Amino acid sequence: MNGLHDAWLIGTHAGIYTDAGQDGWQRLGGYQFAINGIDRKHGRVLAATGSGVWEVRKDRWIQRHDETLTEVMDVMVAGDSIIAASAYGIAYGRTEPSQATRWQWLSDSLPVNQRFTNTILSLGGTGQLVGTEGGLLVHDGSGQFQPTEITDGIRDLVRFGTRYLAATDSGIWTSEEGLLWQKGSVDDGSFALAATGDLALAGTEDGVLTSKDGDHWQAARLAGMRVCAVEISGADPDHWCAGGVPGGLWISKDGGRCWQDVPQIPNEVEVIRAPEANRS
Amino acid sequence: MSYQDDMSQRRDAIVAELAPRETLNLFGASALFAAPNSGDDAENAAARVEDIVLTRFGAQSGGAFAVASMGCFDAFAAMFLLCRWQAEMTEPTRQHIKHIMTHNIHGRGNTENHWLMHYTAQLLAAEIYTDVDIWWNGLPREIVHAEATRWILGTIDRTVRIGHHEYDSTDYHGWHILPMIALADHAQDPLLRQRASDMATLFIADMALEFFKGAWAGGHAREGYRENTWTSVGSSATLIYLYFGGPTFGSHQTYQDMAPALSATYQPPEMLNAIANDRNQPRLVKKTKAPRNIFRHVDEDARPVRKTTYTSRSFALGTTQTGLPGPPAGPIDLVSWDLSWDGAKHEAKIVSCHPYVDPRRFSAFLSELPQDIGRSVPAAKPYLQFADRLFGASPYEQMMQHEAAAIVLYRIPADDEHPYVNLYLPRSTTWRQHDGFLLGDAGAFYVMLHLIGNSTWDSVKDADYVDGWFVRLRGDSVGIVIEASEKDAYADLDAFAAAFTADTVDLSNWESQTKVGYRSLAGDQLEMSYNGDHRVNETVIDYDAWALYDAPEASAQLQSGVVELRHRGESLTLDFSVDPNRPMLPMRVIG
Repeated sequence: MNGLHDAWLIGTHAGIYTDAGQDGWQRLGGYQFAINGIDRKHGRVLAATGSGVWEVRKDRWIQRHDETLTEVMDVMVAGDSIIAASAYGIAYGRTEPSQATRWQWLSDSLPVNQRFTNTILSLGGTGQLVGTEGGLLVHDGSGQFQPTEITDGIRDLVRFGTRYLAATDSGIWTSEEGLLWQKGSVDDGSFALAATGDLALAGTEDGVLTSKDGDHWQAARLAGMRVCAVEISGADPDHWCAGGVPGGLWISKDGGRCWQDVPQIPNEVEVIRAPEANRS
Repeated sequence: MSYQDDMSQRRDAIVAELAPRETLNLFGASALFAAPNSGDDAENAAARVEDIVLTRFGAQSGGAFAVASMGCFDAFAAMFLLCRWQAEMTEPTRQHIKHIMTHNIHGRGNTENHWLMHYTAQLLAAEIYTDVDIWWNGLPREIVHAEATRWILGTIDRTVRIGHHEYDSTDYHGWHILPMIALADHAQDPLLRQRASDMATLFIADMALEFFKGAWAGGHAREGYRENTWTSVGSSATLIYLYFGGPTFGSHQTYQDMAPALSATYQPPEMLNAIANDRNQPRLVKKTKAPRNIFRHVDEDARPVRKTTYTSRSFALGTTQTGLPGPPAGPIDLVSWDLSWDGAKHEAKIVSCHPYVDPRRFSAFLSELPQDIGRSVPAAKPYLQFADRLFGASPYEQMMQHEAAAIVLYRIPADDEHPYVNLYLPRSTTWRQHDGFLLGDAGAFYVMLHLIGNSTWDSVKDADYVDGWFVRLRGDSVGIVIEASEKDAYADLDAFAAAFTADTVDLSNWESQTKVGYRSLAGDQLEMSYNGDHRVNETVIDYDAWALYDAPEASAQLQSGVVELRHRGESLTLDFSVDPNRPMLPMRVIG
């Protein structure tokens, strides 16, 4: 554990902020990389940044990229590998005993627009959903990609109960198993998703939406703001966070009726992670 | 006077201008040590450098766990300064650089010159600070050194096989040359030192081949910031003056960021100076450069860049096949063509540009959200979206060149935000309009322009950035035919004008088949189809067959890694010992 498992993590265009109690929100060190994604499992935190993948620790971040990996949009740990989604495609990284992490590139054969990967989500086993600028792909884990019917830019993916949700430039889609998708009731560009229990949130071009089933969505304020990050506290389902690009961090403690901004975080917010200890 | 004596004089002139400046940065600090010193002066220089390093290198940021974050420019400048002048530095200066290099957070940046400076600084630091086991990034020093070595050697390998990526940038070429000089002078590995020395020579040869009387003529990957109508532009102007001389010496030739070159052990071969200054005979330079790095909004990768630059005694005309894969790919500070000559700032360039402003041209090579990038990038650099812009690639611009003649065509969608082309003309050139041709007397040569489409004349003065005539070509199918000629080929401007007749430019197939024909002054027939073939005397120009370098003074085949430089009986071979079967380092930087 590095002391970060029970902290809110706010990924911005200039570093990661945490809630430091009475001291308010503070940036984790002097690291001002653009944060595009955060993966946290069992207290291990990896940050997908404009300058590669970093393992985030309170004292010093550890470099997990090499000279081939940059512009990382999302990251996740899979067994003893790290999977990075980047502007140049999907890559698997392995950290050697020397501490060097070397990367293998898997999507070089795809068209340009389908290499650019914004988000990835495990399908269980070795496969992933791969959200690209050129649509949603299903990756078998070994470099084989299968297209789906979603061809718009994919901005976020989330597991919601037994289903999958995809936030895209053309709205929110749902799927039972990841290969066949149905368009929901939202047509606006959607950028972020969060889900816990029977509640899902979406960040869109026009504020926050909420849903109980993934198909039907209702406005939950912050209208007029492009919301690119949303999160729900695992300890309190009425405690929500949203990040605007632009607009910064906003917090609601009452299920979206009232939102309060956080002036200590002056940057665009791209990703929010609730405390791991509280996640269901 | 020998070339070395000439260069020493220019070096001394630059140092003499830089050293007294009150404000010097980490690059310029080397001029303090390079200035002739007596005992007291040397102490004063060391004290001033200490002040510069301690106050500028690694400023602290706030926060409970904060350590400084910093950029690759500072890190590289500090390491070059240390490697060259550590014996003259104070101990606090040396210790501060060591602490910042091994403990602070270093930004790698996102362009090729950024990464080259970053990895050069990390490599040199890892070779010097051998008592530091774990580096600022939490990795063992050996891992940092190995990564930097792989990237530097991989980039050299890539560059000599398929061409430089951030090619021929008037703004940034200096930051490609300086790291190679730093490595040539100070890296420990003899092979890396040799590779870097040869690479510095090749980068300087790139300037020499297209040098024209103080200017760097033709196309450039990056010549933005509203400076591409100037005679001397960017960091390259100082190195151009140092290595080749030039007609002017002023602020553009004393850019302090290039100061480390003044006291380097590495010096370019004298032959490059001879190549740069021999413009008595017309010559043609053809180069291949690496494809642009477009990573979204298109399906196909960009094709290689092909440059053509023709120089005569009094002018130089250069054009580019940009190889872009179509809208919205349009690198923001690429300059595709210009006509250059010897003259004052604003008075010796002709250039045109479609000021394409689709915000997706930013997100095509920057990873920010496409929906937001049209706000965020211009907020910091509003001139990138100026309607009067003269730099920046347009996906709707295409061109061909044959010797001193070029055809530049635009097919701009009617719903484009800026459905017109800006053509820049210097005020001091004497202009005449005659039977549909625009004829200019530029002093030592004549120039003809035939404008395709409706045009309106305007004037532009943007502070001291741009100052000249603007001709705006309006419409969705516009273009320019241009040819220049030495003055002694014609009795006077009347005779030059008489060379152009009603059938010189053939626009009969322009609207229907998007094809333009032009009979050059030498009688060659140029035919250009938009999105189609480019022909000279009915022979298609086969761009795919182009070499890496093809010029009277330089030749190299693609993938060979062997560059032959020559001038008047002298020759120099740069052999980078590439293995064409070895996978190339993937390009991961913009530019």
